[in-house]
Amino acid sequence: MTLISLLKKIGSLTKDLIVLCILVALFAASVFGVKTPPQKSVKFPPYQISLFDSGIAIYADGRKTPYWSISPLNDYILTFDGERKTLLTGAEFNEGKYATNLKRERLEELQDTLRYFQGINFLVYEMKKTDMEVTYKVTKEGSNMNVERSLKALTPGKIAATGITVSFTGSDLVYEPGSNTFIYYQDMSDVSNFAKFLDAKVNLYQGREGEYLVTVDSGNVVLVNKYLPGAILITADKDQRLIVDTRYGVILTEQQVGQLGDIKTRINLTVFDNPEELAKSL
Amino acid sequence: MNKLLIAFQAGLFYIIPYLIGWAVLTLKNKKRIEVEDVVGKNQSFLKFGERFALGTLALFGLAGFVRYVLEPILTVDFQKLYFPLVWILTSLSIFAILHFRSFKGLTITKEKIGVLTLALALSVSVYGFWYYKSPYSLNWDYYQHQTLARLIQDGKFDFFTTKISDTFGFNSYPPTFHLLLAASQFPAKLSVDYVVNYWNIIGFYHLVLVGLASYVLGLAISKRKEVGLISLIVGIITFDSITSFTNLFLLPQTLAATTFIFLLSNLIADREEFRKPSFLINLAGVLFLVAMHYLVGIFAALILAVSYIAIRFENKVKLALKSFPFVYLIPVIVVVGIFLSNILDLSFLNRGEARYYIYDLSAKAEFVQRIYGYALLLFTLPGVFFAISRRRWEYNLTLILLFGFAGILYSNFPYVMKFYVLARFFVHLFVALGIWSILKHIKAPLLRFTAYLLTVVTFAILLLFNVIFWKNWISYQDQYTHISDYDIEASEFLADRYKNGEEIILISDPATQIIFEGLSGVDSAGGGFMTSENRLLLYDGLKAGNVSLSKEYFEKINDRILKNPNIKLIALSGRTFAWLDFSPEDRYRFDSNVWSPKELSYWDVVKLSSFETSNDFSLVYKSPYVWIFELKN
Repeated sequence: MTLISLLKKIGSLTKDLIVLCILVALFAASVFGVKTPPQKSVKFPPYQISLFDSGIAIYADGRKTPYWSISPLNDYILTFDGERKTLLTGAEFNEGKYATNLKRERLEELQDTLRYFQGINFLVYEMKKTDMEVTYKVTKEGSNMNVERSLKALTPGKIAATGITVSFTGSDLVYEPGSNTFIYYQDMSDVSNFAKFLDAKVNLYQGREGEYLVTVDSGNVVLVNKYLPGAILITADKDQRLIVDTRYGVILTEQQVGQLGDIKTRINLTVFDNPEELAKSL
Repeated sequence: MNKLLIAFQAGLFYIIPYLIGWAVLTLKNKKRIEVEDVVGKNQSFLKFGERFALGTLALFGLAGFVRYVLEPILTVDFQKLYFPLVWILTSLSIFAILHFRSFKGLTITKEKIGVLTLALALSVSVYGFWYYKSPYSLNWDYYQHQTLARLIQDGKFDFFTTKISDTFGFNSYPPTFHLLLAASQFPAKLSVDYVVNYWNIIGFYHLVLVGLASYVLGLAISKRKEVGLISLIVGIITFDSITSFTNLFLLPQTLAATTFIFLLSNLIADREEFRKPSFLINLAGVLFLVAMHYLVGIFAALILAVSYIAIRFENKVKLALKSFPFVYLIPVIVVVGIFLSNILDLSFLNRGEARYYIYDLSAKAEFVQRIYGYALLLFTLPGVFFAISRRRWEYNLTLILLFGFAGILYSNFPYVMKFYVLARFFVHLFVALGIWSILKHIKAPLLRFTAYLLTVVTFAILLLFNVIFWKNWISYQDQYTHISDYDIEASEFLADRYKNGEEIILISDPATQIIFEGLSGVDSAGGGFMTSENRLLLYDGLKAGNVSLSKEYFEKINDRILKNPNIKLIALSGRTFAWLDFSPEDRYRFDSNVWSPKELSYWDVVKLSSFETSNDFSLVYKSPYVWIFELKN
C-alpha cells in the first residue's frame, strides 16, 4: 500500500467519522426533544404516590377524592418555649421562598421517567429554605411504605420535639383498629355504614368538648376514604406518640428530640385491600 | 384453545383473502404474473396489496350473494352457507395457485429474507416492549369489532353495521373488516381466552405488515433498498400515539392505510418498470379502500385513482394540464381551505362531538414532539431537499402528497388528525430520506452499519418515552391496561351463564358495556356508543333515592336492535361509579371513558348492598370490581 493510498484511506475514514458524528448529534438532539409524562407516580395499589412541590401525596388515580399528603406544610417542630412551627408556612409556600429537588435537569428527568416506568421503591423529596433543610426518603416494600424525614435546622438546640404528619379530609374516616374506635368522622351514618365492612362492634371516641388532639395509645390508627377502596394503617414507633388532630385533619407521630444535628423522624404506612384483611394482620 | 392454533387463525385473517386474491389473478393472467416476479425482483412484497384487496372484495361479494340471493332461495341460515363456502373457496384457490401457476420465476433472494427477518426482529422487539406490563391488548376499539365479528358468525350480516349491532353509533364502514375477522375465527368457540389471545397476536402481524408497507414505499420511490430499510425501521418503531395509532392497532382504517401503501407502491413500480398499470387491480384497490373505511378509505381511494389516471394516461394528463392550467389552482385551494378552517366553525358536526377533535397548532406541535422528539424537524427537511434535488416524478408525487397532508393536518377542521394514518407513511419516507441523505456519505461498511444501528436505537428511545407517556393514563395496580383480571373473570361468567342464546341486554357505563360485550358476547345497551337517553337513565337510576326508583329508570334503558329482551342485566363496576363522577359534559361524550379498571369503593359497595337486599334485583355475580344483577320482573 502506497503512502498516498493510505492517506486517502485515512482521509475517507475521517470523512466517514465526521458524517457519523453529525448523524449522532442529530439523533441525540432528536431524543432530547421527547416529552415526558407531566406527573410520574409510584404504584402503591390501590393508590399511587407522587412528589409535588408541597411534598408527598398518596392518591387514587381517576377517582374524585382529595389526596393524603406528607408535607412540610403540615409537619412541625415544638420549641422549648412551647411554640409550634410548621416547617414551611403557607406564606413561604405561596411566595416561593423555598426550593425543592423537583426541578430536574433534562437528562435526570429522562432517567427518572424510565425509573418510574420500570417501577421504583424509593423516592426522595427535598425542601430547602434559609433556616432549614428537610429531606423525606420514602421506601416502599410490598404494601409497606416508610417515610423517614431528616431535618437540619440552623438552630437545632431550640427544638424540643418534632412531628411528622399525614393529612386527611372530610370524606375520610379515622379509627383505632384494636378497639374499632372511630376518632374522626363527619356523620354518624358513615360510621354505621362502614361498620358493615369491619364485621365487628364499633365504638365512638368520647372526647371532652373542645378537645381536638386525640392521643392513640396503641400507636395504630386506620385511615380510609369512603369513596375509595383500600385502607391505610399508620403505625407509630415505640419512641413516638401517635395523635389525631381532628381540627386540622392530620394524623401525626410526635417524638422528643434526643440529640443535636440531623433530627430523624419516621412514619410507617401499610396498605390493605380491605379492613378485614387489616384486622387479620393485627 | 391452544395458542398456536389461535395464532394460526389470526393469520387466516390475512391468508384467506390473500390466497383468494392470488388465485383470481393467477386465473386471470398467468403469463403476466410470471413476468412480474422476474422483473419485480425484490419488490415482491408489493403483491400483497392487490391480492389482499381482491380477495377481500371476493369475500365481501360472496357475503352479499349469500345474504341476499342464496339465503332467501335455500332458506338456510347465513352462517351455515357462508363460512363453509369461504373454506371451499380458499381450498379451490390453493388448488388453482398450485395447478395453474408456474413457480419458475419465483426467486427467494437474500434481500427478501433479510428484509423479512429485520421486519420480524424489530416487530418482536417493539411488540415485546409494547406488552411489557400490559398483558391485554391496548386496542380499545377491538371490543366493538369483535362484537360485530361474533354477530356475523351468528349469521347477523348486513351492509350497515348499525343494523347488526348498536355498539356502532354510525356507519363508518360496511362490515368488510369484520367479515375477515369472522372468516378467520370460524369455527372456533369465541371464548374470552380465545378473543384476548387472538387480538394480542393479530396486532403483531399487523405491525410486521406496516413495516413491509413502509419498506415497499421507500423502495418504490427511491429505488434504493437502503431507503426502504430505513423507512421500515422508522415505520415499525414509530408509534403515532395520537388518534391514528397506525402500527400497533389493527383497525379498519389502519388496515386500509397499510394496504393502500402497497397498492400505491405497486402502481409506482408499474410505471417505473414500464408496465401498463392494471385497471382491474386498481379498481379493486379503490373498491377495497372504500369498503374498508368511508373517511380514510375514500381519501386513499381518491389518491390511488388520481395516481392511476395520471400514470395510465400520462400524455393525456399532461395535455389536459396544459389545456386547463386552472388545475394549478389546487395549491391555492388548499391554502384557502386552511384559511377557511380558522373561520368556519364545524364543531357542531357529529352532534357537537367534532369540537373535541379540533386541536390548535400548539397541541399538534406537542403531539409531534411526543412521537418524534425533534427527529421530524431534523430529518424531514433534509429529506424534502433530497427529494427536490432528485427531480424525479416519483419524488414529485410524494412531495405533493406530503405537502397536501401537511396542509390538511395544519388546518383547523375537526377530525383531520385521523388522516395521519395515511400521512405517516409519507412522513416516515421523508424522515428516511433525510437520514439517508446524510448516511449515504459514510462509505466504510462498519461505520455504515453503526449508523443503521444508531437509527434503530434512536427511534427505539423515542418509542420508549412515547409509550411511557401514552401508558401513563391507563395505570392500574402494577400494570398499564384497559382491563383487569376481574373484567376477564366477569366476562367468562357472563359467557358461561348466558350461553344458551337467551335474549339479554347488559346495562352499565359505556366502558364496562363495550368490554363485557366484546369479551363475553352478551349484548349491551349500545356498548361504547350508548345513547344520551340511556346514559341519562343510567345516571338517574344510580342517583335515585330508592332502589325501586332505580329499577324504574333501568327498565327504561333500551337496546336499538333487541327491543324486548328476556333478561336485563345491570353490571355496576368501579368504572361505573367513576363514570358517575364525570362532569355532565364528559358523561355524554363518546371519546370520554374510564380507560383503566377501578375497584369498588366502600360507598359503592354500600349502594350495591341496597340493591342486593331489595326485591327488585337479583345478584348473580360479585367481585371487588363489579356486581352483576338481574332485574326481576
